[in-house]
Amino acid sequence: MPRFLIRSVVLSAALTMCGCARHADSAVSWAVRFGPVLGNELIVGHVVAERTAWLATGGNALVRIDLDAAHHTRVSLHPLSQDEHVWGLASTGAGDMWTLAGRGTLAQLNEDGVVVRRIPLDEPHVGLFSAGRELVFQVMDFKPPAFALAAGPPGGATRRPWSSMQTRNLPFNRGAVAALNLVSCGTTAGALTPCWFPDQASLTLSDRSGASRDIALEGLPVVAPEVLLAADNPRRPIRDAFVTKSHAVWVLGSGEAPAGGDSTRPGGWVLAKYDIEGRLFRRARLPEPARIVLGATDDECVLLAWDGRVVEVRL
Amino acid sequence: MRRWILLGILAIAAIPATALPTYAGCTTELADCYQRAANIDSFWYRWAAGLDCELDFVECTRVKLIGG
Repeated sequence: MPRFLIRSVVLSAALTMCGCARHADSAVSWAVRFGPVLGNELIVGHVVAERTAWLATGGNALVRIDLDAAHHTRVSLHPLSQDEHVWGLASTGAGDMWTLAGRGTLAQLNEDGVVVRRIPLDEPHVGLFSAGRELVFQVMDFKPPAFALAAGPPGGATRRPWSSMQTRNLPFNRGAVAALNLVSCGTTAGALTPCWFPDQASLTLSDRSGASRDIALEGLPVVAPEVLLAADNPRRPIRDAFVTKSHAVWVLGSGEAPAGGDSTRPGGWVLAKYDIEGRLFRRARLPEPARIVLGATDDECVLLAWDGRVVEVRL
Repeated sequence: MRRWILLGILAIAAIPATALPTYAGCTTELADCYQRAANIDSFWYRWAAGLDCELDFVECTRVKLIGG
């Protein structure tokens, strides 16, 4: 009996150390910190700088969320013309923020939401992210394969391919292929930015120079691209991702609403934590869906819940 | 009766302007846009209008595919 007991303890310790025992859905602590900081609005871009998160909305607003002070402010972006809507949000340094106004203008914003500079773009742009002091652009490209992203200084004429992500030739019409080749990028507390295509359960992690590596993520449900395109509320394998300073990778996925859960609420139900190699460390179904990751450490993830509240989650 | 009409108007007004458009909405808009582009006489203007339709379609689907 003692031998059996010792063997069980050793096996249990070994499983815990290698992480093998942690793959199954685990319990989650869900602590509402404050809010709501946002209504039922489309989020078109976000930036995280230390313990402050910035959100740009489809209604041309800029929301600043101070996670330490449990406080938020909201300003309207202006001046913008009546039919101009912003997409994307990027930061090239303290207080230096950029967005796309429509698809043909790069706009610099200050923290009060004032558009302080407008730079006309030669081609239609569909995405804007940041890598250090440079901006990362996605240009609308109907001719895959090509580098999906390019980096350069704001307003600079020269850009270089950034990250190894290449647009894919898929068996759909031109518009659908272009839509499935849209890139999302999450945020980082360090130097590795996670980016992904909407139909894939994998991330491309790129440093500021653009050097990158792909990691496949287990445990995230994937749906066929045509289903993704056809669904009103598509189950995206990855909705948002955050890389911590010590390279833990948090991923928010659509997942599935639990039985009795309200599937019409915006956001994802699955939160998972991986290591830098893409090995699943823990995964949990959230009690309520969340929309984006506002910040994270190795132990804790701060989420924007479906109803705009700020929530701390531990797996 | 008047009260119900007023409540209905208020309910529609409460729908946010940035509510997520559906894919069906994007597809319908694309078809309508192509229709308008097809009626343009000049080949190059028609081609450019068709391209604009596809850009609008991508922007429309972008909301649900990568919007937060």
